[in-house]
Amino acid sequence: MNSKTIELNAERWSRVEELFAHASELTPGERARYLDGACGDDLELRDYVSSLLKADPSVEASIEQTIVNTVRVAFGDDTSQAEQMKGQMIGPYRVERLLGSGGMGMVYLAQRADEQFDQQVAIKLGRHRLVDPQTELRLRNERQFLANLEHPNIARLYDGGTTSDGVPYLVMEYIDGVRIDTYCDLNRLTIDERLRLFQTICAAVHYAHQNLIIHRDIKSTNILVTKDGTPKLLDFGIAKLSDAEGTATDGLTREGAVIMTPANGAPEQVMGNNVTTATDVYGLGLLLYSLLAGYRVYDTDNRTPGEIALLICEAERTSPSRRLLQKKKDAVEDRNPVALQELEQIAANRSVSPERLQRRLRGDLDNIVLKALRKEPTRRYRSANAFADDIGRYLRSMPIVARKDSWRYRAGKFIHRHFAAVAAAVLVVIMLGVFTVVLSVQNRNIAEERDTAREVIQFLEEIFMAHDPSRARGVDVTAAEILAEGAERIRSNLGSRPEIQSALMGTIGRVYYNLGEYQASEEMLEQALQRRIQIDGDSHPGVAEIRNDLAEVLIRRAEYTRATELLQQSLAVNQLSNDGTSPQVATNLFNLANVYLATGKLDDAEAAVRSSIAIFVQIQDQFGIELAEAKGSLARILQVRGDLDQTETLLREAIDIISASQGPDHPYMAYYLQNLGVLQRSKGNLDAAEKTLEMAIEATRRILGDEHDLLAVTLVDQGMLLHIKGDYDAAERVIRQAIDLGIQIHGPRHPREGLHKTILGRVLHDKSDLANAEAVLRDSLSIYDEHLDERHQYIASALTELGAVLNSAGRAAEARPLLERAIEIRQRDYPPEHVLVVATEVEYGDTLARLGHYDEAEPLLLNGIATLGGRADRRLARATEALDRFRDLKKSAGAATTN
Amino acid sequence: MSSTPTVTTLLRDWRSGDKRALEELTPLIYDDLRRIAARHLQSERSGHTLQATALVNEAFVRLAEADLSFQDRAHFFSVAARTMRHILTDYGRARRSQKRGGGASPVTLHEGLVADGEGTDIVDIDDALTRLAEIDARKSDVLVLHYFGGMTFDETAEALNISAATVDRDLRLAKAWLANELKDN
Repeated sequence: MNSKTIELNAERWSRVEELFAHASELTPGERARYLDGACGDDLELRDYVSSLLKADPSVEASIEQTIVNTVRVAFGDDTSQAEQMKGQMIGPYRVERLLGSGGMGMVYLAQRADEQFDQQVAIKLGRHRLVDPQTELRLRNERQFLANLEHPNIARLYDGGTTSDGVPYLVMEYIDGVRIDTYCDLNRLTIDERLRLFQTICAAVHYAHQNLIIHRDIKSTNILVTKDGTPKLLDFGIAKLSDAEGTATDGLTREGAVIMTPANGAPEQVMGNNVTTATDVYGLGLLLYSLLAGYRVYDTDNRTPGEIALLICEAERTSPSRRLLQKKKDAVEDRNPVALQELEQIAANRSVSPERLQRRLRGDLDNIVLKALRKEPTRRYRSANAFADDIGRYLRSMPIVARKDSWRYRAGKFIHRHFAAVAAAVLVVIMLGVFTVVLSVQNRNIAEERDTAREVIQFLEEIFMAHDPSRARGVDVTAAEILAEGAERIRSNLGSRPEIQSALMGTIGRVYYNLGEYQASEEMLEQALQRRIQIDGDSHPGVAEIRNDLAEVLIRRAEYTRATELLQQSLAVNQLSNDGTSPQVATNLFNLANVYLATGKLDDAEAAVRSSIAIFVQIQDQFGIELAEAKGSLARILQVRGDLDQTETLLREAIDIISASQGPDHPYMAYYLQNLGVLQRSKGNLDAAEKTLEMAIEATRRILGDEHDLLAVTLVDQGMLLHIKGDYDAAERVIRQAIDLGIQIHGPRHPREGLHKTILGRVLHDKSDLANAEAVLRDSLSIYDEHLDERHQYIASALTELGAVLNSAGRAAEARPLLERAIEIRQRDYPPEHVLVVATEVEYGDTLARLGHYDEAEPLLLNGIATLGGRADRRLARATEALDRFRDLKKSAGAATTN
Repeated sequence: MSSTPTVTTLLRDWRSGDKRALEELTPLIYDDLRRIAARHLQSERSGHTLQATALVNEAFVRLAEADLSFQDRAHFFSVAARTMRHILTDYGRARRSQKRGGGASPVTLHEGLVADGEGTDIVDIDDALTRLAEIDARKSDVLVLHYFGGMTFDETAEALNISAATVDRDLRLAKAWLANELKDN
């Protein structure tokens, strides 16, 4: 019967299983090759397995559809129960036919038998007999109360009682109508028409509330619309009666609990808390949700009551428009034609296209529905009337009351859940970043762009939702994980919206930068840059901005060549606008200056930073921090040049600008204090330096934490101070600590590791640990070799010290070329009388003396004493020592000659 | 009511080897499935789908006690899924014989999914499942629990005493097999 069927014995079948399992792991392309090889000559087997692999997914959908259809007709034929009741008497009423059935019992159409009135009524017959007369009395009172409710949109309760068997029943107005959702769909009511109909229902509910009656179970099956289009609410307050009935019957409380359809419950109902008018507002929200979107707020099929309860109490509500979007996405991904058709049908029932429907709901209507569905009763609409009023405002295109939960509110809730201060801080940074993206997008003031902004917000919400403790139960999530997941989602989910994708990548990249996660930051910004170039072209200001930010990261990672390139590209674009004097230009120049300074190009650095300061001074009010930063950089350059007084002035100016505009807890306070301490130390002002450095370390730990780059730097400064004071062991310990911290932060072989090792080399030299001193200094030079310009002053410093160590080790001949190279580097940047030049010359003089070139050595050493004489530092000590040794050597040489 | 054993008790008895417990359990579930379906259909809105799996789930909610263990839950679903299969197939066979006598039109596949012909009905699915059971009974069981019970991998694994990974593998092959069998119908 089937061409694709083959004879299958057990052995053959297990072979099929094996081949299928293996081949299904392969790509379609690989499958054929695999099967050819595995099946050999057995073509029948190969064709069969291959036909199984190609099984049409639509057949599976049709199998499910067949089952669904059969359920409909197989069970639909079942009318036997109702047949039995036909003609029976309930109280004075004769049953005509079954109208429906619900959790609390069957509903029959009945006619008053005594023909006192020619009236059709609906009779709701309970499931259980009442055994307790007190309960019966209570129910009667309740019924009386409900019977007072008279409103054109509420089905009247006429009467009630108990049958001769003791089963309670209610007699109600018979409404000849159809369910509200069916009515809306059959008549293809538009969104506006649905909203107006819904307002009528709100008014009826409000009337009941004013009469102190709560419905408790508002849902589409309880609202019928008559032929003339009048909606009628059924079963007002009945749920409560039924509850009482349920709990009154022995041993069957569970039946009572099931009465409220779990999926329709409000959180307070699920949790067993007080049911109030806000519960009905929630029910109305659920109703409006499905009237608008065609789906319920949650998929509750195939879920246990416990899971549904958890959803109701914990899960975020997906907005109606978002729900449609998800449904469509799922249907497309699952290639489910039935689901796609369902979506088409929902839109057609509202007389719009699926796309328009989704757009229509997005925004105000989403917000209105979600406000009614908030978990906390007090945060919903105050009343059914307020709900209807807000819809009225929407229909009149007035601003609505409902707003998406504010950032502050969400942040507050999030922080409340995660006490980790870090997470909170990161969140704030992310939000600020995203908020900026949203604002900049909104400023374009085009409807389409506003939608983009909303998508961004929704996207972020999803990231946070994923970390809602109710979803990630028992797992403590760190800020870093949130960021990583955010980054991953941006990468994988936003491919179709490159402009949002690139904006968010930029944001996360900057957050990573602020957290000191430079590698992650570089990756994010690099991707943001590529995407942005694709969208806006190479010379867009936005592209220039990302280039600048990426360069800042690269500077931290000591990738100076690429940083320079990016900054120059960014500068070229920024200089085209605003007469070339925009803050963007100043920022580019400032960053360039830092690259030049770091790579030893002092002239370029000074020129760039002075241009940057010239721009920032003019806009000082808004760019105080930037001005202080630029002054700090200039100070550093001047310090390298040896103009220490000017350096100190600039640093103090920078500190004043920061503390005036930002207060004492700004991170730059830590930086500038450190710089000032170093300056004071190099000016020989040791006590002041010690005090300033202590303040700097304290400020760094307080403001920036224990694993910050600046802490490593400041520790080294402290080590240098200890060195000067002669406490070599302590100095070595502190500097090694700083080196370890630096490797931890930057990875191995960062230029700063080279610098710190040079400093350590000096300490070890003074400790007379010559072997280790030589090793760390050579290590230092090899690190510099990888990163720095060959004429960098750091290289001269390391060469000078290495030469000195070799001198001490009696290897002056090896020291000589190193020191000659060091002097050459020094002389390029410094005047001949500069301390650094002279100090290097002193070591060279020592070499010459050791090698017996006394005539050449003498002037260098004498000049050293003369120049360094005013300073009580290591350099003078070394010069003095070298001159003494010169004299000793020369004397013994002279004695040798005379002898 | 209080004298009749609860579903939970029956499930436990059945699991511990009491065959009679299953005989008592099945009609209970059978009745309840019919009741739930009737209620759904009477209040059903047009075009809304009524799923076998949803009925089974609701039967579970109504019949089983809240503290039912995972094992008992899995076994309940497996009984309910098999019961559902029988209800639907019995109905389908009855309709077929009616149709031979010139009755109503058959239950066909969703329009547009099958090119022409009368399409597959529930009896074809049942027949195919029976044929599969002859080749590989376990895979047939996995399919029944999946299509008629909507059971998760873990539940299926528990009910059939196999691993969830095996359920996954079995289901993939069995679905392909069934689709292959039915597509030329």
